[in-house]
Amino acid sequence: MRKAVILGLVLLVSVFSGVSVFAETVIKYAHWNALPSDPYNYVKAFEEKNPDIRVEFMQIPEAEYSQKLRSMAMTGTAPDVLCLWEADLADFVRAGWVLSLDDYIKQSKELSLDDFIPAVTQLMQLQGSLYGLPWCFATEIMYYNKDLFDKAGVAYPGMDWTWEDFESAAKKLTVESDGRVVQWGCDALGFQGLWYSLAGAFGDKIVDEQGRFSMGSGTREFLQRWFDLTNKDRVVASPQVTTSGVVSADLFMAGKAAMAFNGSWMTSVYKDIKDFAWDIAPIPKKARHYSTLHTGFFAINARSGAKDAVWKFIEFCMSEEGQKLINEAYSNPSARLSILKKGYYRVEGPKGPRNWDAIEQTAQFAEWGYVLLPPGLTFDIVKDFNAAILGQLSVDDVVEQARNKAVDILGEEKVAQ
Amino acid sequence: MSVRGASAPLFFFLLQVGSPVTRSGESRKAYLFVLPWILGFVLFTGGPILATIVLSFTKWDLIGFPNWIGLGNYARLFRQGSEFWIVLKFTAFYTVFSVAISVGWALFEAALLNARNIRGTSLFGFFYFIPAVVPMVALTFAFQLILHKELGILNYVLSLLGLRETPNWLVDPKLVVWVVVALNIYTFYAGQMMLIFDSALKEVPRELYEAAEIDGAGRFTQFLKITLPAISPILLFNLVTATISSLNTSFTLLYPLTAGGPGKVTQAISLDIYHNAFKTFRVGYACAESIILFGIAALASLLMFVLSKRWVYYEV
Repeated sequence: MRKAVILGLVLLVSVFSGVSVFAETVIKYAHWNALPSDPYNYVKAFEEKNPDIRVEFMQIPEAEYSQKLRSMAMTGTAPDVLCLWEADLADFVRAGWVLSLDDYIKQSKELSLDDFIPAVTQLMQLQGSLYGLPWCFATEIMYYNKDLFDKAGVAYPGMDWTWEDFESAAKKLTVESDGRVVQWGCDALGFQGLWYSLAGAFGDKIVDEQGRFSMGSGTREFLQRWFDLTNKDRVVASPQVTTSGVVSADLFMAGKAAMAFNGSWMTSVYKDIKDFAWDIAPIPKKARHYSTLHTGFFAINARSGAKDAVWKFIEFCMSEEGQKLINEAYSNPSARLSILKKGYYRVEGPKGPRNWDAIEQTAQFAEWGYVLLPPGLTFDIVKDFNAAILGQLSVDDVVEQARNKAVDILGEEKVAQ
Repeated sequence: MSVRGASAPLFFFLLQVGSPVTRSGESRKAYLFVLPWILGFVLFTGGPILATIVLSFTKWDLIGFPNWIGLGNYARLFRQGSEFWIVLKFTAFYTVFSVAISVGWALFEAALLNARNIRGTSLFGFFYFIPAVVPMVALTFAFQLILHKELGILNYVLSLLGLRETPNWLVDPKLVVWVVVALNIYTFYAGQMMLIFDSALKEVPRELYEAAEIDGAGRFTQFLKITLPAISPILLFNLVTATISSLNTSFTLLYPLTAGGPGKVTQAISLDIYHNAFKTFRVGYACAESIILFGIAALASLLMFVLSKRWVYYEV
């Protein structure tokens, strides 16, 4: 009788408090983005499919994301599901804070490594195991103003465009009036990653097969060419201040630059352009085709007490259902080739873009590159690149300085000769 | 005697220690009252300061345990060719000129508000203070647009005046250092100083000006010989707080405006600490920089207090 009363009380309390007496697994998940609203809320969709698992979501502001996750991991309070930036993943692997996903993916009926863009397996080879799966990806591409190309009689860029084609077009597309440039062939480089993507196109590995910093002759040649285009030919706009890698004013969007290099995420900003037709193309080839990939990797906290539930969540996010929601919510493509082709990420504006193949082609040759290095190092080097274009430092000094900074921060063994 | 701000509980606590009533029940109650502050100080101020000192002798990337390297970080900071010299040089330049400009501007505005025979000064006061309450990130973003080489309104106006090669304000190293210094007039502490100067100026006895006028002294002479000596304690207070603010909070202006660039031209020490601690994860190195910043702020304040004996008058 007494036991029945106690059981009854427990049931009563649990009913009123909304807590189930049956086991419910709670997993914590952190991300720098807020969760998208319905119908794109992938966490809610997962919970509906898995009523025995509840996901506690925590948003950490982007500016402090990396250091916050490190502090949490050190104190054993990191979320069960980690979405780690590329440079952090290597450190978390080194510290033993994340689990290898090799066994999970082998047993998965949903996921297969063959279905991912090549860069995923390249990173796996570098790190010895698979530790993270990209939640979606972005890359760096070229944007062009179709109206200005038509007006100047220049053919649109495509996959076969070379650096020489780019330079020639930039010269034809620059317009001067009364001694002043009123229309630039190309905008200055705003987003910091583009310096590395273009140096990569000129032949530098940026990060080699051993994960070492590797910049030299390609960077030197690219900087010299960019310096000439900016200062001698005056077809590229002067560098502007970049804070957090982003410029505040955009000449391409203002219709004052015929071409611009930028991240693929800018398609969701430029789609609002109404004054001119525009499109996208891969970064022109010089020594090779090259671009940088950006992502966050879903990883399992090694200290999590609910690893299977965490994998279930990751597997759902990487499934077609989860990827569709994520791709649509953030306008970023899936790193799974079978889903990438379906184009859930494509959001077209009235004037562009139309050539979505540019992103899918870029995904085939793009690498993680500079994003595997500490952001402080790469941002610092970009400030020197800008100084070189402004003539404040010589190109040779900047390349030498970049190497010294890399040695200083990463150590001699992490810098290629 | 007045004791202000956060130092008040500590002041009273120290006053109690060693007094004849220390062991009395009353003093125990007093200790209990100040205990929350003492705990807060130890946990949130004293503890981190000690941790910073200890970490400055280590190499630590926020992964695993810090490795003891003795004076290694300090040696790296001051080695030949280190970029820290550029950072120190800009910090000194920025501190001196931003303090001079912000204190001077605040005093100028306060003087205007206290000018005789001018109506509507409270309305002017409101407008003078407005920039101080605009969030710094919004302000810097607006100035990035205003000062943009191609799309900025400033260069547009200059081009209308016939200038063909307009300046690249935030990227030209010779210009940008002066731009960031000049923008200090829009910071919160410049507005705060204006209010403090305004109050101080209202306290200067009118009879002194009347007597000076009878003696034939002009406005400028009155300002130099009466106003400045009369408000000199407040001027000292504002100089010290502006110096410390400039050293510690330059980050809020520089990070969103220039991020320390081009190169390291506008990289103040506060920005460099953030950069090294949270962008390159050289925490020990950043802690060593913090200790140096602490030393610079302490020395600058001490110097100002010592020199103040020559020009600050506590009685008029």
